[in-house]
Amino acid sequence: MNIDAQRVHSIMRNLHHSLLKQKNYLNGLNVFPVPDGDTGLNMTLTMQAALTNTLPDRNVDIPGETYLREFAKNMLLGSRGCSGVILSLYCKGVSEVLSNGDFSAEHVSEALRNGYESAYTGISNPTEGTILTIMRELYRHYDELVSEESDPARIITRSIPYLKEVLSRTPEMLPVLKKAGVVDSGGAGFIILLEGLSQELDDNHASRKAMPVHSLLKINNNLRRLLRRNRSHREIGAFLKKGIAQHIHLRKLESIIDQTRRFLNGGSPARETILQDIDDLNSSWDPDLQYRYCTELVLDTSALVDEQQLKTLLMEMGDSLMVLQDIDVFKIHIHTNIPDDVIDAVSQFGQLSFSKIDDMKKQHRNFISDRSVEYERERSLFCIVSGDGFKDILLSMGADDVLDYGRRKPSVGQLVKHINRLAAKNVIVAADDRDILMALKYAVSLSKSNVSVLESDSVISLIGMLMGLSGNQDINRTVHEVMERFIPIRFFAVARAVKPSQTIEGDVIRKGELFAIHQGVIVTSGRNALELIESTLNILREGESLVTLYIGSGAKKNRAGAEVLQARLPAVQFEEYYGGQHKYLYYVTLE
Amino acid sequence: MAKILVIAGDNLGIRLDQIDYPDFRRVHFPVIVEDSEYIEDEDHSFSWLLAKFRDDDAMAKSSCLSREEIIEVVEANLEGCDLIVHVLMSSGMSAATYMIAEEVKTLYEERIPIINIDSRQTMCGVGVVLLRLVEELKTIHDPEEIRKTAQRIIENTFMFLALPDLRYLQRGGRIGKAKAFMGSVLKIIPVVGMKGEEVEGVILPIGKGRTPAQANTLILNAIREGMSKRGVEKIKLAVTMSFGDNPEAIADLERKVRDSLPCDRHVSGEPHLVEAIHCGPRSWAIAVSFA
Repeated sequence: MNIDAQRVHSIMRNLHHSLLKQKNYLNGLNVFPVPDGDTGLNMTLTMQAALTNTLPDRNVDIPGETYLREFAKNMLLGSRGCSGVILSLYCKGVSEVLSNGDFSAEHVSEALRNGYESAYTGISNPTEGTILTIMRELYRHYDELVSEESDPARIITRSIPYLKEVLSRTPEMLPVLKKAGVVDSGGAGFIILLEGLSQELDDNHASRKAMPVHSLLKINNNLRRLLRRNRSHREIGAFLKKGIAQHIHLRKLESIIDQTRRFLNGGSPARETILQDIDDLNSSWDPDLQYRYCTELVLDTSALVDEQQLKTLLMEMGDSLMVLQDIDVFKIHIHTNIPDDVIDAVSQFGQLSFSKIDDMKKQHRNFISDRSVEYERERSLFCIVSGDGFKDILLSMGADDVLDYGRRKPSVGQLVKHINRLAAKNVIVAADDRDILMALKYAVSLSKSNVSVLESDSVISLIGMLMGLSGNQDINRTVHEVMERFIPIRFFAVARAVKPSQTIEGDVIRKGELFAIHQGVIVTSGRNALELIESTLNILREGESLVTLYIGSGAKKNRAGAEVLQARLPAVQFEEYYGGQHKYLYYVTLE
Repeated sequence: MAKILVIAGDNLGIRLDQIDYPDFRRVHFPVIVEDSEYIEDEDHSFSWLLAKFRDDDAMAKSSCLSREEIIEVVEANLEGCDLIVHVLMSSGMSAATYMIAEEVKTLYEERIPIINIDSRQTMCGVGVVLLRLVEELKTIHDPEEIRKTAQRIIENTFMFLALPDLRYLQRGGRIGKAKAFMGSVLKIIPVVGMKGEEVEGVILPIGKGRTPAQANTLILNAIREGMSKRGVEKIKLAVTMSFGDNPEAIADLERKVRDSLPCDRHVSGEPHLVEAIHCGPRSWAIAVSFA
């Protein structure tokens, strides 16, 4: 059977789509190894990274197996979280065997076995009751059916009911799942992929509905309150009737509700037993996290290192350690409390081409909170400015999101709301006014994302920050780029005096007159804006060749200021843009 | 003494007389301008094409290297030759050219060994790889050693390009990840680059300046980042080139490099017809290679 790259790409795109539709369902099952609610997102992002970086060339005939190898490699480099890493290891193992282009049922059997072995041996602490169990059972069951069928897709389709049964037994294999009342999220995601592969899922297939974990825990706690306070059977019965919605995917909670109903009808178990189960359920979703930071790195090195060398080095620094090698590229995943030390230790061997540190504690708090945010993306570079013109300018310079706050600076509550609305796991935020910084820092502590604040004091410095931004970088490199490649831009602003004042030279400024301010000092004053700009330029210009006017909302429109100034100062190039800022009539930059 | 023939396309960003190697032969990238095909000659140079862009708003594109021309060069030099080294532009940018070179290699495998070197570069980036390699070929003759040396040079070579008008790169189908720089509200000078350490060998966005001086500062900082990552303190070879109309920009860059970065050798290169297609007027570039 021959499959070309376009066909494999199309299958992978559909699989990604299947996962995307079930992302939130999978997030709601995520309790192992850490209940941070991102299994669905991690698996989806892993597939997405590989899809983005493995685009088949329409002009060149590339065999499917070659594409698959490349896809697996990019999956490994772009893998996110434990489930993403295990999935990419599996894909690597499968693609290795299929690299000869033999897609026969027997050969696929060997590929599935190799996929499982690649995933199993690739991680330091393989655990039963997880995605690994489902991967193993797939190749075993497939092996049993291979004598009956010749079509690999058909065999996989026939294996799915059995795998679902195995998935339903994962809580018996992994106590933490049983305590939390869920099946394994990674295993569930793997079966969704298989369903997609066997085309059981089509576009009309409905997503699995799942009540958010915080709602389920709320039901659990309300029940606890009613039972603890010895409320009447009638009141508890009414709560069970009214308060319980459908789509409870936590078996433990289903069992608690069932037990309570039996208790209300005079049967066993005793109230104390039910309360114990309720407490168990709560604690399983809210454990003490031993390690706070999920750290992922990609190391490029030609130094003589192997997986074991890195594993030995990092073993003591945390848990959930996975080190994967693809010739000179290593992908490292670890849960740790000392991410900087991990980065330092790994960096000695070569260059880090990717790094990511997720605060799992924050993610976990978000996951179980009443107003949890469903993360939709890995990062957002978020700017807060006054002026609709500047909003457009910054978006076109590489900002992912911009808030135009108009005349009134945003409150802490508004900032929290805006940051949460971004639905990004990691946010880099910068504002155009130092006065916003304090509120911003407080808002960051209340937000649901990992947020880095870049300290800036004007919209012009935001433009300078975005100049060095290359885009498509991971969160740490983006912060590095913005800080290290920052291009300082000299500027002054023109405003109208709301009270009498004076310039640094002592010239009196009457109320209503214009003045130019540079680095907090009033340099010049006057009645005509363009004449004021010209005289200020004559004082401040130090050989710059480009002067840009950013027009504020209060400045007269259609002045063609740049044109007028160009005629007066022909040695300089003038440009003019609408900024829409409210505080100043003009920002004037010198570059 | 082994005789090693070196072949490369005419998109090197340097003049022939700057290549100090007697057994070097150049092959041409055909250029299609308004449905007619040209190869570079005295009448059809980069400045001719820039004038066509400026005066006629002409559309141009490039084609891959001609199999026949490569074979012609190989045939003409077979006698007495022990090895052929073909230095190619990035296969990530021209897969077809690389495939043709591989076909020629297979065609001659019984008669002469050919090493195809994917430089992961274009323009003066290929020029830098070539200049450094021919220097090494004066003392290294073993094919395996040549491969390893070339790989080391490639991984340590970077090219940066300031493009006041990105449309040329887009029209030529080479924009790649630099498309992130399209659609800016402000007039900007995008700085893009090719990094030898990146296996893909495609154009990468680096940053953007509003003035040539800012673009050059970005380039300088990017070079410094590369040096600091590798722990090197010196540039082994730098090649600069400019597409005319912008002499201050390239002069500013050369001055900045001279004043702040130690460099063993600097070559002031020259663009060719095929290079003008993707860069357009007023652009400039530098390629550097570290020891």
